[in-house]
Amino acid sequence: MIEVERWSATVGHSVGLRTINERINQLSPLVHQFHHTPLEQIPEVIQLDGIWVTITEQGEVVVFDRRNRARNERHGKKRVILVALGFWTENGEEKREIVDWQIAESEKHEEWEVLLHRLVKRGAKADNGLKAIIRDGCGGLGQAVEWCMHRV
Amino acid sequence: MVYAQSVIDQRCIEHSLKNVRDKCRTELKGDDHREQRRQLLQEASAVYQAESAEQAKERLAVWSTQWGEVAHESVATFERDFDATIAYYQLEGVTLEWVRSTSLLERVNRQLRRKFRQALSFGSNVGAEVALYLQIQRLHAKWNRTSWWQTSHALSLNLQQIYHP
Repeated sequence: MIEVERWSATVGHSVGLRTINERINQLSPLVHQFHHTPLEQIPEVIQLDGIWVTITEQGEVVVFDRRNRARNERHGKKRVILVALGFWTENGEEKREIVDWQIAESEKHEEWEVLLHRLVKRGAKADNGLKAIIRDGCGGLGQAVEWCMHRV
Repeated sequence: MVYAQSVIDQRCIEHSLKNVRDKCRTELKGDDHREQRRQLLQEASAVYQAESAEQAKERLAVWSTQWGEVAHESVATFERDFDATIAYYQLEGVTLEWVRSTSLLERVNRQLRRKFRQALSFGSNVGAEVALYLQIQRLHAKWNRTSWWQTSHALSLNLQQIYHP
């Protein structure tokens, strides 16, 4: 509800939860486009890492709030955002961009593979100028890198 | 196994040194060993200041001999996968800050996590994806020295093209 109040304050009038949801759904094609458009600039280096966050989701159980309105019970779920940060040089200037990300349930290799396969499909491979992947020692990620970046 | 043209798989040196730090805290416990721990880590860190992979390996061998008796687990930890942490020496003409560790990404991730703490509740994964997307666009605008007005205007035009091609 704090977020709704913040949105309302930003636009200068009351904004309903449904309106916010509609706006969010309208923006989702941009997210799809981001994940699937070929990379304009192939990074020389990609750093990979995951961040754990709690995302509050709507459950099945209906509860009643203080104003006796029926609402779906909400509960927090731990999710990991797998992030790929790309680096390259353009006209002598160092550039960086988050080239892709994936909200996943774990850092298992199957989850990393989804992100890496997509990056390869979008052009991030050695033939196009990708030189290195930088990562931590997470076992699943190492396996995924070997599968997606090294095998033909 | 058939390999494609090679992409170097570099393990983060900061993570490697952190593992050594954690291990030596259990091996060389307490205030009495504080100076020893500091020295061990300082020398471990200096291994990565070598000018070539060969020199780094030589430095590791010296370091391992020196610390093997008092901190053999720390030595084993540092030696494990060491070759994967010096793969970056094969790269030429690439900014060292990009290839030695994931520190830059971790800094970015801290910013993303902060955003998630502000907007804790998402009705669905779509909401979380969109929030993340917008935050990433903000970061890109900042890095490219573009105003948020310009970026959001471009996004709006892009969206119009998607809905009305």
